Amino acid sequence: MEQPGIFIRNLAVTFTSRDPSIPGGRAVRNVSIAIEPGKVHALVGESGSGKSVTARTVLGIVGADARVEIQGSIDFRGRNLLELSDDELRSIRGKEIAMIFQEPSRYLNPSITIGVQIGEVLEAHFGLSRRASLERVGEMLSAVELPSRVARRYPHELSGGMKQRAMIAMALVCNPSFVLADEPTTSLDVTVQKQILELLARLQADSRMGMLFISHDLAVVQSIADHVSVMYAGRIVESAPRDELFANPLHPYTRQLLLSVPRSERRGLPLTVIPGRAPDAQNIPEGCAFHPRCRYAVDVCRREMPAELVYGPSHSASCHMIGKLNGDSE
Amino acid sequence: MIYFMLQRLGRLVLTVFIVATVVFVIVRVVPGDPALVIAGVDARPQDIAAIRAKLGTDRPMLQQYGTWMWGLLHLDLGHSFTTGESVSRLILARFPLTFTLALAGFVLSMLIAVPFGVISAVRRWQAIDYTVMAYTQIGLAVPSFWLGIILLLLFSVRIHLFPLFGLGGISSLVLPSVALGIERSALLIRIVRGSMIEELSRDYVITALAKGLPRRVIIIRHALRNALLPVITIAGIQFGYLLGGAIIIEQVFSLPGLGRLFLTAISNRDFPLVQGGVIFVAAVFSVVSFLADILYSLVNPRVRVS
Repeated sequence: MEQPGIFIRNLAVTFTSRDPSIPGGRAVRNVSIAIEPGKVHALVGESGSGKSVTARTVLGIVGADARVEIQGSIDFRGRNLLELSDDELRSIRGKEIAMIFQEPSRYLNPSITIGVQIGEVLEAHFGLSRRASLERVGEMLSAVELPSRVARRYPHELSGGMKQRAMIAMALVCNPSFVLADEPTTSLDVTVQKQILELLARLQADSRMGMLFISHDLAVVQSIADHVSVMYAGRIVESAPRDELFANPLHPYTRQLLLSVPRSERRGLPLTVIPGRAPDAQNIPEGCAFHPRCRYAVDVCRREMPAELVYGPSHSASCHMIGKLNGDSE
Repeated sequence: MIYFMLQRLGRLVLTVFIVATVVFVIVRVVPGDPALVIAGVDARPQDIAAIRAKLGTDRPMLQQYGTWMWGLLHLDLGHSFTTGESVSRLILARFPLTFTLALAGFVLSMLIAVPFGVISAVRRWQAIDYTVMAYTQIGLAVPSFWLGIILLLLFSVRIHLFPLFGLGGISSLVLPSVALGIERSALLIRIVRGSMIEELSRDYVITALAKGLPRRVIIIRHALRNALLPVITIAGIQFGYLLGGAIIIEQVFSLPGLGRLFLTAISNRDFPLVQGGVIFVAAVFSVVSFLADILYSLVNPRVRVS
C-alpha cells in the first residue's frame, strides 16, 4: 500500500481571548510543510516557536478549551483535515495518524494499566474487545522491547524510558501510516534518549511510516531526520534536506542553533548561546521576528518580513541578509 | 497494607478514648442530677440519696470514670439509669433504622452527585451547568429538616403518597431519605464537578483524544476514574454527617431511631445512655472513614504499592 504524505499549506493558528483587548497569540504564522511518505521530517526550534501547535493542529487537538482560529489547509489522503467533522477526525486519530508526547508520566493515565491504555485504541477503531486485543498488545510490547507483563502495570510502576516505550506502543498499535512525535526523548536521561531514538528510527524504517519529529535539539534531529525545518516565532525560517542543512545552513538563526550544539567537528571551540529570548506569540517583533537577536540585522530586517526564497534543491530560507553573509566563517 | 490498617485501627481506638473522656466530663459538668429526675421534684432528701447510691453518682468522679472506662474496655457501655436496660442493647435495637436512613440518603446523594457533577463539568459555563449550580446553591442553603417538613407537606398532607409519621414499612423511610440525600448531594455535586474539571484539563486527556477515543470513553474511563478518588475520602466524611442528619430528621418524621433515644436520654440525664450513644456514633464515624481510606487505596494504584 502506498503511504500517504501530509501536506501543510499556509497554516496559521491564532489563539484568541474572550477579552478583545488582549491581543491574540499568533502561535503559527503561514507555515507550509510537506512531509513526504515514509520520510522523517524534523521540526526544530526553541520552546514556544509553534512546533507542538503545528503538530496538534494536524490532529485537531489544539487545547480543548482554547479559542483558536485556524487558516490554511492540511492535506492527507486527498482530504483537508481542517475541514473534517469531529467523527471523521476521530477515525483518523490514533489509527492513521498517531501522536507520541513529550512527558509520558503526564501523558499516560495514572490509574489505568498500560495494557488497557494500548488496547483501547484497538477497541475504539476496530471494535475489538479487551480480550481480543490482548494478543496485539503483547505483540506491540515486544516490538518496543518491553516484557509482556508490563501490560498489567500502572505507569508509575515503570521507569521513564519504559513509559515512553509504552507510549510508542500505544501510538503504533494500529499501524498508523503517520506519526507525530512531539519531543519524544526530551524528558529522558541521555542514555535512554539514545535507545528510544534508535527504537523509533527502527520502527519507522520497518513500517515505512511518515514522521513529523519535533525537537529543540539539533543533535537528536541529525541522527533521525531526512529533512529539517527550522521554526522561529511561528514561522519556518529555513528548510532543507538534513545533510544540506547541517553542511550549509543559510539562516542566521539556524547557524546560531548549530553553534549552540556540541559537535565533534567543533571540538575545542566554545559553544555559543543565542542572546535574548524567543518572543512569545503575543508580541512578535515587526519585520523579521528574529531581528532583535540577530547580529546581522539591518534596517530592512526591522521593517519588512523577509520572503521565503529557494537556494537549492528543496532548500529554502527567509532572510534579507542571505548572500551578504556567505563566506562568513561564523 | 497491614501496617496501614493497624495504624488506622490505633487511631480509631484513640478517637473513641478521647471522645469517651470528653463526653464523660461534659455530661457531669452540665447542670442536672439524674437522681432528681428519677425521684421527682417532691422527693425526700433520703430517697434522693438512696437513688444516688444505687446509680453510683455519689461516688468520687475519678472512681466513676474508672468504672466507666473499665466497662468500656470490655465493650460494656453499662445500663440505662432510667430503664435499667443494657445501653448497647438499646442502641443496637434503634441503630438499624438510623443506619438505613443514612445509607439510603448517602446512596441517593451519590446517585445525584456523580452524573450531575460530571455533566456540569463537561458542559461548563453552559445552561445546564448554571442550572445544576443553582440547585447546589439552594441545596447548600436549605437544612435537611426543613426540606423534610416541606416534603411531608407535599407528599403526605397534600397528596397522600407516603405516611405522615411513624414507622410503617419501607414507604415511611422514603421521604426522610430523600430529604437527607438532596441536602448532601449539593456539596458532593460541587466536589465531583471541581474534581472532574481538574482531571479534564490533564495531559492524559490530550493523549486519549489523540488516540481517537470516543468522548464518552474519555470522560468516563479516563477522567471520571481519577476524579472520583478525592470524592471517596470526602464521601466517607459525608456519611458521618448523614448519621447526624438522620438523627435530626427522625424527629421530623417521628421515627423511632437513635435520635429519639438520645434526646430522651439527655433530658433524663441518663449518663450511661448519653455517653454510650456519643461513643457509638463516634465509633461508627471512625469506622466509615476508615473503610473509605481502605477503598481509596484499593482504587488508587499509586497508593496500593506503598
